[in-house]
Amino acid sequence: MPFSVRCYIFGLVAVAVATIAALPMSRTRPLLLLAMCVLVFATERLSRVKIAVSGWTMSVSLVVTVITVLVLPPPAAALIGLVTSLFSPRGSSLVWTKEILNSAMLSLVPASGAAVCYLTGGHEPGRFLSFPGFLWPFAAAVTTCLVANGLIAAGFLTLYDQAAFGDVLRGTLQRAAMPYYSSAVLALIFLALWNDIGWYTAPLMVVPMYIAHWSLSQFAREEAAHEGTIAALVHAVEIKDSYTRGHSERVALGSEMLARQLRMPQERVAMLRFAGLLHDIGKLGVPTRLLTSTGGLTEEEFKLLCMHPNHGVAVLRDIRFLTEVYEGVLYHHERLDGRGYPTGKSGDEIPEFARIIGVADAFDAMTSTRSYRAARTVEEAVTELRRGAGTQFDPVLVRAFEEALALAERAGRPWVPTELPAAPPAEAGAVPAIPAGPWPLPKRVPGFSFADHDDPFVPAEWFSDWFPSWLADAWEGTPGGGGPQGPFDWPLDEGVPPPGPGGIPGQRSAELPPGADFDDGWSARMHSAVVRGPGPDPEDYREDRDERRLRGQSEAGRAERGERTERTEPVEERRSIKPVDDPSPGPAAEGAAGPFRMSHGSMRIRGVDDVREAEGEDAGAAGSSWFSRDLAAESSGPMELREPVDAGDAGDFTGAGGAGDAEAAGFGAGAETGVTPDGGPDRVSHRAPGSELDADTGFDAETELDADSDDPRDSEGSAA
Amino acid sequence: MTHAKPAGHRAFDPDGGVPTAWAQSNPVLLVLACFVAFAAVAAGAVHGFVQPGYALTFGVIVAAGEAFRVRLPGGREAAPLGSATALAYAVVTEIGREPARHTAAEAITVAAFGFLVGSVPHLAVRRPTTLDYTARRFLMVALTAELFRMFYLRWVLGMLPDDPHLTADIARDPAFLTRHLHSLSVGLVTAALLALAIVSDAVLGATLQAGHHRRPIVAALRDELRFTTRVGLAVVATALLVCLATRTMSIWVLPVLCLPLTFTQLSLRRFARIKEVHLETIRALSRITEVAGLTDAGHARRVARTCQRIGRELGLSEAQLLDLEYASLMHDIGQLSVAEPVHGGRTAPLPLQRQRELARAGAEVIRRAGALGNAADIVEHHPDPFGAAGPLPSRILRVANDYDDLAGAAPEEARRVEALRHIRLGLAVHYDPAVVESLSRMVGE
Repeated sequence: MPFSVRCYIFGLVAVAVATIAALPMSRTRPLLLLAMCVLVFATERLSRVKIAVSGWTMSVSLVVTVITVLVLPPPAAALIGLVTSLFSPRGSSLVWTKEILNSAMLSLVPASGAAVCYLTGGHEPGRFLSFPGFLWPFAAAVTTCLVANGLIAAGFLTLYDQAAFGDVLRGTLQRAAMPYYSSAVLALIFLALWNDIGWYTAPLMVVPMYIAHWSLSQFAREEAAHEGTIAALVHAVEIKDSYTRGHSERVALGSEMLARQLRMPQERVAMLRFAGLLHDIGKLGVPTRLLTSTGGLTEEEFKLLCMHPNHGVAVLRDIRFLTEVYEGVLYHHERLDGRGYPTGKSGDEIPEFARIIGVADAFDAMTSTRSYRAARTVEEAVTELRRGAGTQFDPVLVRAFEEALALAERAGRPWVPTELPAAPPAEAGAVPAIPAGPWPLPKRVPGFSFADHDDPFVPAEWFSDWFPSWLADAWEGTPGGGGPQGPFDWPLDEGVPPPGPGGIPGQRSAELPPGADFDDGWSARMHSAVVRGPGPDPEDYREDRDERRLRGQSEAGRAERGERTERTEPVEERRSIKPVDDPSPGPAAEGAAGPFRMSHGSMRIRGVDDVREAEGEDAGAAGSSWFSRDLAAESSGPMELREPVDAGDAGDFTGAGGAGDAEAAGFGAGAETGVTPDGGPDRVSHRAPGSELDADTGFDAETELDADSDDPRDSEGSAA
Repeated sequence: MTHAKPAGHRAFDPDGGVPTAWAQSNPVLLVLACFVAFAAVAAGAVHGFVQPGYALTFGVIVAAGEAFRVRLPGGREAAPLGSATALAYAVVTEIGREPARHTAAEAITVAAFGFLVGSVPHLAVRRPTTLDYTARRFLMVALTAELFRMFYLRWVLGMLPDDPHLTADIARDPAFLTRHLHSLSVGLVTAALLALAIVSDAVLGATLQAGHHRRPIVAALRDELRFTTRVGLAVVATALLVCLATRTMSIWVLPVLCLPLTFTQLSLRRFARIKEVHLETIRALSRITEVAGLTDAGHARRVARTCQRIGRELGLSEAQLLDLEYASLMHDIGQLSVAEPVHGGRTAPLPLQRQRELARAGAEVIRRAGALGNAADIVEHHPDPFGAAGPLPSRILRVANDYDDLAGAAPEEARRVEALRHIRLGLAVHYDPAVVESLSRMVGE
């Protein structure tokens, strides 16, 4: 505990003790004092209820405290306050510092109120309960109590948590005002009615008090339930993937820390927490196969993946009051330099919530275990955040996050990287991980799976020229990409294919794998398809590619049709990846072991024009037109976002949501047909007759539709 | 799986559309309230208004309380502050050691003024609210005012407060008023009248609800009374307190006395808001199974709507209805956590064992959420056949779910009837006959 906090508590205790020590001088009637003590003990024991998630409680004893303020001198009021704190029910955990602080506070607060009441003349013989003359000392005394309570609590929290004094004070006053004033009023009426009419009217006081209690506790309960429910549902979403379990919770925590560091108002912090919890809810819209894929993703799979913020917003769309939350969810993968997805906003266009969640998201992804690497330490992750500041992350936020982390560490709640027991034990003879770089590299080539889409290390290459510096160092001086000769040596086991071309995330290979139609334009096309704003014009791109294709044709002499049939092969390869220790890894499988199939571009996605052309040429291939329809849907969806979309306010947001809907619709079609969520075969694979994939009876949307029109009970067959 | 929706679409609305306040209100009630108000204003105009300062003070607080009324989730409305103040003005007998000489007509006029002024902001912004609750509160106040003023003037005083005989009596015996007004019997009668007001309001509300939702009147009354015990108790207590405290402490005490109820109302507002956000969030999150492709679009919300209608008709209590709503919205959530989810989410044709497995997984998730009442139990038991005697909400959920699985999203007449026929085939074996009866009434409409 910092020295300043100790001093603060010691000071408070000293003042409180001094006040109580003045008791003999105040000539209070002992009987009255005793009666008050008994009363406060009874009310405190009987009626304390929790009224807020944060542990704020309230009880009728506050009424008694206010009565003491009105009728007793300051030292006696302080004594009654002390008794209150001594007898208040405690939870299981007892933190002595807080208990001492509370006792001192609860003694000083009534004492200050009583002092003000005395000074404003409330304790003078004629003034007691003479209306409206008594109202002024009364209001002054109660307000003093409230403010004193707020100041002492805020002072402590400022010193202890480094919170902003003004914010804490405001929050404390807001929450305490209602209990204080309602108790004060009850105390007043209590005294007056007892005085004027008779004791039997006093019980009438209890009813409004009880109802105020009830409504407040109802609110608190509902608030807690709300958060708990959301957390549980999010947990249900994450349950299948052990590596991302708890991720949303931690992102919410990280965002909250960051927001507190930025001195956000309480309400926005709550909203941000909510957004952090829900930021990946759209993951559900992405086929499960992608979630657990370790074999790498193809382009369209990756595009599907990029839609998860839109799916998330599609889920949340109907909740009112949540504009900022939608923005946070929708844009949390945007990058400051405009190379993020789904819309490619840049700089200040990205809403604050999204930037905050982006930082927390990446940080948690880095500090938690993945299937192919251990969790990184906080320092490493922070270094990486700092490196990405300005390109991927908002530098202000990165700095604030560092401070928040340091603060949390000082407060004894450091960020703990989420270690998991290492990935399930590999089968006998499996290849051990290849330690390289500061942390172990993937033992099996990870490609890119949904599980680490948050990790700034992994997809860096695809969106920008920024990628981890250690990787840059490692690959400097390996121009041919023929294997690393970096500053460290690779303890390669026999039988492990050396991280060949494209074997490492971020590596660009100069040499094409044989037979692959190398198309390095992926990230840029991705950019042009999905991204608005600074980015190459898609038209340029097409030309560029056409040119390259012409070159390729002249070399390989491939016809358009031939190319298409070739294109299906990698899909097969990808799906038939065997563990690396497979006794007979064919050459194709070797090639397929490259982590970034995408950057190899052996699957080429053709633009709409290509597709039309293909349809004209080869209308007979049913699968072709089908595939092209999907592609058309995919590429037309994102184009909508090229309309200037400004998420400045709610009105604009609906526009963005509409565009998102269109996209979601387009992609949804893809999800139902092209890439089936339950790991069924691609539609693409249907076009490779005789492949093993055809044996898979996947869910087929068309059959399902047919089944719909029949007896519904027959659909069992197709659903099974 | 399309997410296209009209841009204007906002929150889930079980009845669709946003009718205006007038369209939602019960015409008979409105006409009755207007008639009473006009009669009171006319009577007041004939006899003249006394002590206008007090009337204005009470009227302003009534209007403020009414303007900040709370619309609780489930369509209920609460305005404890307005009701309490208006009731207090109806039963107040003495303000600052002077007799309060206003008549019933004046009390009703003040209430009418307050309720009308307080409703203006709501009507002006075309808030989709009903005027039923305002009319009910007004009629409750009017009834109390008539009864109490009659009782007080005729039986206690035996004359009008500004009667010269009364002035003479007070001059002769200064304790005359105190003897009459402060007696315990007057206090008890006042309390009884206030309680009667609250109960009559509950009965009126239950009647209205029974008419509107085809709900058994006993269930409606039970709900009304359960709701009334809390807020109504606070209203009665505050009205009594005002009545007692203004005797000695003058009108100043009125705003002070209203503070606890004001705070209650503010907490209720916050409560209502968070509750609404909560419900909306659950409704929205019920869509995660759709986004994941595990249920049809809109399935959960259609099932929820059917369940609500059937549940209301079969007399479930409000708490049970809420649990049922949560359960019906999330009954497919188990699909997310089982290893092999059922694609498309049609659980109706599945074998019982599989259905139970899914239901258990779902109940597990809901149970972890902790705060959704009995929703977990409802989900867990919903695949049980009728013979297994699951709770009524589970049986409703089962019927609604299977019906929606069979009938689908936008069912044409033929398909609905076909679905219903299938349901009827499983009558009394799989499905509860009473629930199916209610469902077929709904389908028939």
